[in-house]
Amino acid sequence: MKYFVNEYLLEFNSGIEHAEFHRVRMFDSIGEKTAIVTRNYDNLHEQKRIRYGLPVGSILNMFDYFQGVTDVLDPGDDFLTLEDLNLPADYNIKTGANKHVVFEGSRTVMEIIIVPGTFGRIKQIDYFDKYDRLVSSDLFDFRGFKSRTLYFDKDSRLLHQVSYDINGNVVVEEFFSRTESDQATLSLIHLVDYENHELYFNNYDDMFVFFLNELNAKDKHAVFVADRPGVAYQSVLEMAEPVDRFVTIPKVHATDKKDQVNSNLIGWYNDPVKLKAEKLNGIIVATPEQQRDLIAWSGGIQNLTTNIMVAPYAGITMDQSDKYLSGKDQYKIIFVGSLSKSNHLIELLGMFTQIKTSIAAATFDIYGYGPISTRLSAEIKRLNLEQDVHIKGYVTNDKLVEAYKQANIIVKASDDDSFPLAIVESLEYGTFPVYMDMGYGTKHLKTANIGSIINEDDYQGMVNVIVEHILGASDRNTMDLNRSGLLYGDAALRWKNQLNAGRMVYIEQ
Amino acid sequence: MFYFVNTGFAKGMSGVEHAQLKRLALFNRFNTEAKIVTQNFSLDLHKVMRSVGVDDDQVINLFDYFQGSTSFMQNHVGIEDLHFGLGLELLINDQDENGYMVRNSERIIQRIKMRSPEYDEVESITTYDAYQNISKTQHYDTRGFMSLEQIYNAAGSIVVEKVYSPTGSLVYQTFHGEAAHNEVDNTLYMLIGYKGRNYTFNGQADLTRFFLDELNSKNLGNNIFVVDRTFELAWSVLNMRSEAHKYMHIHSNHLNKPNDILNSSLNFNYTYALNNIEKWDGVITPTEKQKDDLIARWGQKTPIYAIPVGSVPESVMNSPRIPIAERTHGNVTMVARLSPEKQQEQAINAFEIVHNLLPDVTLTFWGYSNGDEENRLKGLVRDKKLEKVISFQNYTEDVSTVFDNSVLHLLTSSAEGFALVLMEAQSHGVPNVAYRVNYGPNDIINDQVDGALVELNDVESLAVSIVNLLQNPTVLQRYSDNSYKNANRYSQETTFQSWKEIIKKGAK
Repeated sequence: MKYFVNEYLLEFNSGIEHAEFHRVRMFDSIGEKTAIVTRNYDNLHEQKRIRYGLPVGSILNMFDYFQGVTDVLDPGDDFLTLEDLNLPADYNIKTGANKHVVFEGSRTVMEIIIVPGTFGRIKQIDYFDKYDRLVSSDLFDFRGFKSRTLYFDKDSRLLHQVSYDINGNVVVEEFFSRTESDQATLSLIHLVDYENHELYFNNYDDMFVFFLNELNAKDKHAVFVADRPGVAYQSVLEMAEPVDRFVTIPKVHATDKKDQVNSNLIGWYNDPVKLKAEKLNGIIVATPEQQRDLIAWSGGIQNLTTNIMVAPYAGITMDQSDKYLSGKDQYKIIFVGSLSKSNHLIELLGMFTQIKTSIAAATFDIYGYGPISTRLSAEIKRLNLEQDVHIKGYVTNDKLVEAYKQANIIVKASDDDSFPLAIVESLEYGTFPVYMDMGYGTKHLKTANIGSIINEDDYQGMVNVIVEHILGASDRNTMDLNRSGLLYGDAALRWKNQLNAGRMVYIEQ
Repeated sequence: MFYFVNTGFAKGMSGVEHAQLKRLALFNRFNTEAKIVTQNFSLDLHKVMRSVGVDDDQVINLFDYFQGSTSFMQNHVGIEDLHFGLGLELLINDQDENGYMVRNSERIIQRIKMRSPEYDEVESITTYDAYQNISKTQHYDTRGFMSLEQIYNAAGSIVVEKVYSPTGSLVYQTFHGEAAHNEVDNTLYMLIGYKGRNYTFNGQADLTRFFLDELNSKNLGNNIFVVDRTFELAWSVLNMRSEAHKYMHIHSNHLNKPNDILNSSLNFNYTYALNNIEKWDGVITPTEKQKDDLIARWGQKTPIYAIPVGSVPESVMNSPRIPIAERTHGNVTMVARLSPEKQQEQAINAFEIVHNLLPDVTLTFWGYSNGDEENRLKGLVRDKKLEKVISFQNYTEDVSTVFDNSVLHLLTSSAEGFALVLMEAQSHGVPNVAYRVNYGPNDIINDQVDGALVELNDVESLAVSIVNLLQNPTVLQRYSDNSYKNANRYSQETTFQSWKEIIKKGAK
């Protein structure tokens, strides 16, 4: 099986995770099961999987593995609620939407925390002592079983936690000591009776490498792809041989965005690209342009010690985009991506004010989250655009699809993207992309005659194209998918092919 | 079913524990169902009970009950039964040659203590974290399963204690908060998964009450609880929510001022219980005199029963009598806990006088020490240069042999509920010399018939009594004969008769 190695999945995800989601769906479309592998404990990962629309079993968590619950399914409507807890008759319960408080007489015995956004689905039980101090918490998995118990020290810092198998036996124990500033710090992990052995680790990274090695040992056809720099890259690189392993590069690889051939590598790419490249079957980038630049950076093909390959980070299914054209709001423009400096949102906002002078009915919806979010809000206010420009935040997949369906135009001005992920997603729903020629992937779209490419920094040019499209060209479709090479089917086969690659063979001179 | 409720049993037993053991033996002899119930956690309760002849099925401990180990048999856990993972090495412990340690390539992960004296069973395992601090210790029950786990914080304090069943399920945990000095402050008690539920309790008393109600649910209405340690346990018994027969048992003088029967403040052990006398089905006291004093103060609304706390077993009753002349010459003994209220110091002072007149008489103390008392008394003996004639022996399980070899027995207590030792001494024909105090000495010893009673704290008179008897072998022998005879008051038949009324009330 193919394992896409990450560190965690969050409420709000980045391009790295979205690329992984696409890849899982791609393989699913050709009937192959894959999994995103995560290190960090998360008792609600199943809720996330459902929210992201990923197939069952496509998130493989390290703790799930050791707890033996990778195959446990979501119980659907029959989820864990207050009634299932079978509390003693002596207890008086004050129920609530977010939590229930349980009393014995006037003593608070416990608080039962509900999974946000659900009706009474239990996430956690907190226990209080006679001083109303939190002493212990039980965490319940989204799928309904008791997953972990936390124990707190006298000053409420984490002291100890245990994770259970489905029968309630402790399978992982963790102990916490104190840093000099009195913060809790992990001091020992004990894997209990794992295949008849007691194992000890100093940190989660060591445990993660052990876990990956176990996956590799038990699966003859295992292939590992590290997608996130840091923990994922390092752990995959530390795995024991023999192993089939790859790394994907999520953004531009060198420090100077305008010179990816001669400037230094961004720090965390040093190991996979330079120092430990020979440990990899390959490095995968999203576009032929980045492939070319990375090979040039390395000094040419003859200098490579690993394969540098291309596979697109997203794809589209069938060309049904036409059917969405009639439902579009002619005047709606959207942006989807992180709210960060590299996406030039302040400039895009400026561009929108210009559009407004020609088209009063134009609106601009911004989807995403990020560091400049506050500044962006202030700017919107300053420009008096609150009626027409809305920051929608990070939304679930279904809401995003609605946004794509409704929007006429999607804009992008990113200088460090490795792949125009949101744009490709929007193509599925017939949205017209207008994008600045920066980062990787834009040239590719241009070659495929998709949307309108704008010269770098030419925001006025962007205004013109958008105004023209809104006013005139509702019949102009951008699709020419046969030439785009962006079909899921093609993309999936391309990935399958790349991930079959073996190590580069050295020919001794 | 009779339940004799106590806090715990350890190797060194006090009069209360001895009373319960004798009562159990008595009930067994007369086929009346009874069990000893204990509250405190213990790793060696069953070993202790087996050593005093009590079967596992006659003792129920609160933790055993929730651990499901009430009838757990013996299991062997040796070092070979522990599993160590790859990369871990098992070595002899460099700090303890009878133990082991486990290490990986970086550091020592665990130190393992083996149980003396054979060192072939695991006693405890200590696990260390990356900073060489203790993460947790695990303690094994003497029956061979891991029973208690203690989790430490970085400052070296135990914060969480967990108790497991023999099959490895967590059944109970408790949390410690900040505590003054060396006291432990348990801030929460939890039962995990008991009958499918978690229960929490703010305090020990509440947990014990819950346990007693659970115990009581079998044969509801027909159970009789006899509480022998009322200070710790009365509240839990009186606050049970289910129907039961409840008796409080007094084991020492209930009055702080023995002569002020009606108004004296009460011995702290019995204050709560007696203040709530109307909630009991009855009060049991070892002597008639104490019963009279109780009635004088509280009347008879709650029945008061005088029942000796011990009885002389048939085997002892039927043993051949040993003449004084055949015993170890001049062997005077005092069998009692070494503690201030037993006043061994006065026995030493009296003996100083005795020694000057009878240099070959010896005094041997038999008993375990409370706190520092033993060191203090030994210091006193050294100061008086009496080391050659006064010696200290530890607690012994074989008092019979001690008494069979004694010619005289002393008891210098300032107060006693009963004093089983006096009865036991008598049953072995050993005359007693004691202070004339309530209630036991006054009740058990017949002055100038089978022993001598001396005014409280009158050390000189004590010395005189001892000298007179030892210088007068005929009198001593007569006292010995009368002691054997007096012991008949405490035959098992007689003692059990006194329980009949309570038994009848309890049965349905």
